[in-house]
Amino acid sequence: MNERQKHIRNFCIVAHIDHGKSTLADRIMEKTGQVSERDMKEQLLDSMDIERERGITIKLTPVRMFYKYKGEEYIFNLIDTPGHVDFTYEVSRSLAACEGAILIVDATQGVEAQTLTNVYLAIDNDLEILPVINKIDLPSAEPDKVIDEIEDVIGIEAHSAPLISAKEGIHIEQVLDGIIERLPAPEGDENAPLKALIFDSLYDSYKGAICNIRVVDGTVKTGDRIRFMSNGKEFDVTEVGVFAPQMQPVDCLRAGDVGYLCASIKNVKDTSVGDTITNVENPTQAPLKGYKKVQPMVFAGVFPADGSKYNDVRDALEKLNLNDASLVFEPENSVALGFGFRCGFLGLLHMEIIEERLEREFDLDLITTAPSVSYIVTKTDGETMIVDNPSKLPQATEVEKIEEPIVRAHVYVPPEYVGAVMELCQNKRGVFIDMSYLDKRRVRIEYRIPLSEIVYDFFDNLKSKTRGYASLDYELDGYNADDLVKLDILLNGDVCDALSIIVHREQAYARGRAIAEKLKDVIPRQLFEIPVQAAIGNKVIARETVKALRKDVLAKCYGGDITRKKKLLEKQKEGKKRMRQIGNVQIPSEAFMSILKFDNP
Amino acid sequence: MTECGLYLHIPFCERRCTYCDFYSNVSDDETRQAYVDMLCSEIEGTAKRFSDAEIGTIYVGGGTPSLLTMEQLDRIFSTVYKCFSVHSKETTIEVNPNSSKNIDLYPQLGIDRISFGVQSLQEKTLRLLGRLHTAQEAIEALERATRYFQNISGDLIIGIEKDDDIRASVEGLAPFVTHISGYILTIPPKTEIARMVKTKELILATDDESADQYDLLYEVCKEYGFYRYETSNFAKLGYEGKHNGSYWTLKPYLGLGASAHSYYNGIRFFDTPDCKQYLKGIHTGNKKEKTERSFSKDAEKTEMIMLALRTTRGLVISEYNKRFHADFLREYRRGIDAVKKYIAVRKDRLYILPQYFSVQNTIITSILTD
Repeated sequence: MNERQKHIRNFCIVAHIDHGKSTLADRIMEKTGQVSERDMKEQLLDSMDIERERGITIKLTPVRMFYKYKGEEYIFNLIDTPGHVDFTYEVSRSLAACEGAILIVDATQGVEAQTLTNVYLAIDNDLEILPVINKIDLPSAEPDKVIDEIEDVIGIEAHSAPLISAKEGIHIEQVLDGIIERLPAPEGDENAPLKALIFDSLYDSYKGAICNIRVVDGTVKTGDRIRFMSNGKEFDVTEVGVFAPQMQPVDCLRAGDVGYLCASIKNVKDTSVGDTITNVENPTQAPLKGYKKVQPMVFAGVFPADGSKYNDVRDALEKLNLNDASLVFEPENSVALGFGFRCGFLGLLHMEIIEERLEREFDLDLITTAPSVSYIVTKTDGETMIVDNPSKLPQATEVEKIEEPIVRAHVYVPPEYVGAVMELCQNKRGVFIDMSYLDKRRVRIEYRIPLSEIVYDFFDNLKSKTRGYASLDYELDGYNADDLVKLDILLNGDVCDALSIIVHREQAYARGRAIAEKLKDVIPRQLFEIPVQAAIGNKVIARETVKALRKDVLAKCYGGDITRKKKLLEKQKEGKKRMRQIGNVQIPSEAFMSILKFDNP
Repeated sequence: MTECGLYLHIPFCERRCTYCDFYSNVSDDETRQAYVDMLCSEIEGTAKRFSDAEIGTIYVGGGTPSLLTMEQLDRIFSTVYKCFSVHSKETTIEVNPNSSKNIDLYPQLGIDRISFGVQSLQEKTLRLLGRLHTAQEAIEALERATRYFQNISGDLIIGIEKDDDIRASVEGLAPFVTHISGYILTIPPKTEIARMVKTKELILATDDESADQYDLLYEVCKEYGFYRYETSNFAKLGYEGKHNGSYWTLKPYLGLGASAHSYYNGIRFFDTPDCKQYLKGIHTGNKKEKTERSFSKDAEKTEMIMLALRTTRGLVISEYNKRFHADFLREYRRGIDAVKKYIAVRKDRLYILPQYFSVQNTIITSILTD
């Protein structure tokens, strides 16, 4: 390791939501004089509205800082990590770009599920951990207890952990010194062939796709011919630079550096997170470990509420896709909803974020169908197919078996709720794996549960049954065959494809009844009686009726004033625009989403 | 000459009814006199401006026109006859049972039709509506009116409470009237009745119950020889309201007085609804306050269809085609097809089937938009 590398620290911060990650990051930047307090808000806080509102980070925003320690200048590269289970893979790649991690634990809360997940990810990536106890200024802070907990639960030394308050700026220097003292400098040979890890990419309309990279070995500079090892694509580097925190071009990035790279890359999809960049003239033998193609877990139909806005939705999805390669979509044609898109998301949060961005940033009015997972269907003729859209499931007679994705779910909960959580998991077709007491106040329960159950209403149920105390994370853990059926909803005798779902046979009756009842309330009365039926194949398992409309408002045209009547008619016309026609039945847009939202049983 | 209806609005009441959000005021003698003066000068001005107008029907509505003195009414009618060319086939005045003492003198003014604001013959309902008369007073007033008028209409409001006896109200009216207007109550916001509904003082009939009452009204009217010719209007044969008829058939009409609406030369316009403004004379004789122009061909088409389908006669297809140089059945083929179970197309007419009159908005919207 050369002198230059010895003065670099690449690290991230891991924490549970609300334990103070962003605040500490802000303090570190302030102390290193990287940015003025005034600029901080605009530049450093999470840039998207939705992120800010939800208090979570989705996009990774690296920052380079300088810090003087014992008369020598050090470079800090802080790589931010997203904090949600949907983005676990992206977190892992960010971690792989670092040598160390600051672990923040809230002195009033202790170790939480998300903390553990991310710490384990960090440990798996061989990161050195610097524990920091935050919020010691709060009266309910119990730093000693939390220190013991960290040592017991995570198994790392925590008695020398800085006791800080990021909010009040207490003991931040101890954190900065700790970064230099406890976290290792990057290794790697700058004379070896280039090996650079992509830990994020974004799209710029002038520069094309921009890769955020960590150079592991070798150097990269403008003019170099590079290759992406996962897809073999080659480009000429047009610019390399660092985050200061805005992008600042430099001559060259060397082993140990964190920065960005542009190469007139038109499609952000060519720049997969986790991929390795090498030099075409002097290529490395093997890529960095750990690359995997991100697979969407949750699928849903996204349709414009106003059918004529199809192209607008497509343009918006394409624009979002420039910066978010994990979003996948393809055109979908629904009998009920017309032309739209089948979209794949990393998880439910990701789906909500995309939906919200489409509606807010692009001013679109959308109808989203119930989210589905992706099933492996084996047909009687031996053919297997992937089905992520319930309406595409073949006839029951043609289906040999259906396999569904299973996740390994970890629930962290105080002991008094263990019974409730186990009951819930059991009801959700979970298979018990393990349970362990992390300490007196915290139990870790592990189940294998079908992903579709998690997608449906597991999290809300979990929160309500544990008064909000439980936290959850999960990872994909293979596929299991089960007795799964397609539940169709018939309106006035016609199947409404956009309302079909795949469920376990034993749950079909309850779900069918609940959906039929819900739809009865949501669908306005029309000129004729509308039977609302739930059916498996030809067998009707639930039925409700929307009675025929008897009266609409009959404004009188008194004294020749026809304006009231006209207004009523206009209102009715407007309302109708928001309706979808299934056969001759008008369905309001909200019906499609409403089948998802039930009161807890 | 352009044959047209003339509507005169008298925005005064002894007391505001609980359900009323039409333009009316509780007033003093002085205001009423000032109003009549202003109305008369508006009549003069309007007659000058629309000098080609020939008045075919006159309708004095409100409010409560019968609150005006004979002198005031005489002044108004004299002004009309003086300024306009009048060949009235029907001259109506609205009267409340408790302010009908002068009706014996009305024929002298040329009035040949009385429209009574009866609303109900149930005491409880009358109180809920805030009416000032009792059922007995209404019957007495109606009986007296028959001595001076052959053509009498009675208004009823239905859809109030579910146990309201619609049959009794119709049966009570039937011996005295040639025409019945039956309206389903709507609850305008900010009215007394809206407050009563909110505080549950009044448990309103549900939509289904209102629909049942409307069906019952239709049945009982039929039993007594009143056939429905328009959504809210039932008449003995030959006694259909001629003035109101011009509203459904896009015939021109001039409306004078505060808040009155006009439709003339294809343009809709109306007077300020504010009596104080009106009395300042801003609009007098020069009603240029066109808040609603007639506009596009499409809007006119919509109007014609929506108004015609209120009537049992329905839309006369050839009239539509002639007016718009269009082919109605082709133009709205999809919409007509979507509601074909609820309408009939016979000879030259398209009309809503009798049993579906209470859902006509939905049907009309379908025709227009599907």
